[in-house]
Amino acid sequence: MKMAQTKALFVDAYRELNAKKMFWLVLLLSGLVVAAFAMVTINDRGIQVLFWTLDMPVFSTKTMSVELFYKQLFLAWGIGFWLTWIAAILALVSTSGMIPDFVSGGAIELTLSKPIGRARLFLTKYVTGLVFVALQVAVFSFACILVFGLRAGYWEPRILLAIPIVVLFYSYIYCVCALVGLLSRSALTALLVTILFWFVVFLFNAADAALLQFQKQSEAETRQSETRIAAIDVQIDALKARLEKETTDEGRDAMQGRIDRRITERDTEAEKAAGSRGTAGTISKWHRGVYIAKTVLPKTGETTGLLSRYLVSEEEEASRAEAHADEGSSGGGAKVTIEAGESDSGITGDRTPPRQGDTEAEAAKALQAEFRGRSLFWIIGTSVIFEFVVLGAATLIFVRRDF
Amino acid sequence: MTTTASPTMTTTRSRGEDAYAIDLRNVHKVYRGKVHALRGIDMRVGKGEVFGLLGPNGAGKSTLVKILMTVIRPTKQEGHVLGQPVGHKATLSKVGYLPEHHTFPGYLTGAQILDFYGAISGVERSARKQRAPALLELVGMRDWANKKVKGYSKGMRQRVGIAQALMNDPQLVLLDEPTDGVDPEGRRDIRNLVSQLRDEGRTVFINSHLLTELEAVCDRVAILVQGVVERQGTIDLLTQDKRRYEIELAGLKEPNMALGALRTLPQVALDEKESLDSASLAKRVGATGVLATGETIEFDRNIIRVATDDADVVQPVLDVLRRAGLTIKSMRPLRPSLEDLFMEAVRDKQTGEVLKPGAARNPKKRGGGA
Repeated sequence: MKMAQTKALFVDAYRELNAKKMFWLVLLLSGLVVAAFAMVTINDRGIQVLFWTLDMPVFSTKTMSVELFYKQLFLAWGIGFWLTWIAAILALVSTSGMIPDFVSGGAIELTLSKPIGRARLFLTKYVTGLVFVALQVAVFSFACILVFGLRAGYWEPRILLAIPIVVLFYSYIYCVCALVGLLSRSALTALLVTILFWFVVFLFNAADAALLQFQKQSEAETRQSETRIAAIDVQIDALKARLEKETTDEGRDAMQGRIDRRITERDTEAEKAAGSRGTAGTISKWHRGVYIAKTVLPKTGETTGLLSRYLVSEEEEASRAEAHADEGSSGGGAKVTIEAGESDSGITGDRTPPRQGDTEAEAAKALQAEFRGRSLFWIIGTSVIFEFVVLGAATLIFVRRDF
Repeated sequence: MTTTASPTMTTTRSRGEDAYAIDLRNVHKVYRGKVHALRGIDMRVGKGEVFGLLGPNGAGKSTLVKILMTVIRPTKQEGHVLGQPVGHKATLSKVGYLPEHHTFPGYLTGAQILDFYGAISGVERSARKQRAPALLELVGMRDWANKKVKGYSKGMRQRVGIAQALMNDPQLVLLDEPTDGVDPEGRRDIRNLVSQLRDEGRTVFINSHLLTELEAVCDRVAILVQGVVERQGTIDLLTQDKRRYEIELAGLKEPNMALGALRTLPQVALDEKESLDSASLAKRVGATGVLATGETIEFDRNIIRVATDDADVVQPVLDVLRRAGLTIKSMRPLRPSLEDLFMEAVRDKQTGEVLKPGAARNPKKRGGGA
């Protein structure tokens, strides 16, 4: 009997969505995205769209494999743009009315009067909303596998991981939609509040990334200054040793002058180190606040980001980071503080001063490592706890309400 | 929600299980801690009978029906439906329900509605396939089975709703305003259907404000006023002490003649009252009084009513009228209609004013319990 009831509710949800035509519209758009993927590939000169080639040496078989190109295409556009933004918003538009229509429509009394528990009724209704997304993602993922396989002989079954991951991501925001829809009994209110909530989560994600970036940058700068101070100390010691050996007054004065300049440099550098250490500390405090808030909120970005963790290997990631670092260093190097003109080549420990670009690359690497290092529990576990709490509250309200 | 645990109550109940489809005791509902909608409902509906629930707007009828169907949670109750405590979900597979003001999702067809609600009522697929067309035929909706509900008229929706309530072959059927928005032909069909359901041995509980309809089909009724059962029983029993004889005089030119004749009755006291005739705007002579034997007598234009079901009591009245040379057109025994009963029940006994639904919000004004 329970199976028959559940099946009836699913069939009803399908009929409801079918009546809205949204299911087929979203599926059609998904088809267009896949068709666009099928038209694009790379060759030795650049990106090839159908039979025309756009000369772009950065995106060519010389710099990356076709597999990596398709992986990045799927992650950046298929997941990052289409599924987690456009399709998710369309899915919200399609499904935001399900719970409000269910509780405010004229049939709720009838449905509640049937031999089916209220909690089960509500949760089944919630799951039907997720099935909408699951079907969309499944069709999209299978189509992508097919396109990549046929186009480039790149058969990647791991793309199917997108189904659970995207459904999980969608369930984080859909539970808010269900709660607001239940309370307000209005599809529009549910939709708007959910999008607002999603935006807040997005802001926290952005703040997390930005603050972490600044923090890592400041930390790298602190380390850079400390390295320089150590280098200057070595230089000073060496100069002092030479001062001892200096026999002429002139020579001694000159040497003392060089030592004094080094000490001034050292002081400036120490000041800088203290400054960036302070900045790093302040940012770290702010970041900790954002991080705590994010621990409570669902991790939308990180959850969909998991897919790139599984699809793109560490080596590929590393090579990508390296490429990024090369790019960074070529643009930097303008701020050189140590008088390079003054030859101290003979002095032990006198190293080439590190350049600005290197700190950026270092910070980027640290940032990547930090994001990759975030545990699966923190990403999925805490998000699922959030979902349980919101959904639990909604279920409790539904179970206790008089209709 | 409270349930009794005393052994005496249990034995009463086990006896009651056989006799009653619905056995409500002490049902209370307080909305959001303020509005006291039901104040101790005690009501019994026997198995296999057609039971009518009536009451003015705001009396708590729908609240009571919804409590039975687990749509609303009672604040306190000791009731049973088909032998199980109110709120027992599994029992609902044996209950059919037509809610008031229901609207089915417009994207479903009549056949799909029956299949869907049948499925969540726990009806097997094979049984659904068999019952749905038969029920649509029964309510006269066979030709519309595969058309979307959004194109249905109010009456058609009601018919499909009733068919839906019968999908699970219920022992008990609750119909909340079944004839709402239905044309006279449809009403007759529904009445016939209710009789048919009774003949099949099902219990039917009807909530309706159309009193004549209830009168035609109900075995027993309860009148709910301000959250309390004011009266309940068979219509015969409820009207027993309210039967009367009505004497109609033919071609009465001079009402004072009849009044004079009535005054000659022994030990009669008549209070004259005058009112305006709405048609001629002339004065209307009327009077009320008490006979020597204690029955009330009422005179209004050419009608004389004596509150009794004993024909002997009326004879002296006929005698004086005949003696005065008046022509008696007819004399017949009358039973009050359900409407009369209803109007009496909803009037405040002290002031005679019609009780306002809002008064239910002030429990101090009226005592709880029936």
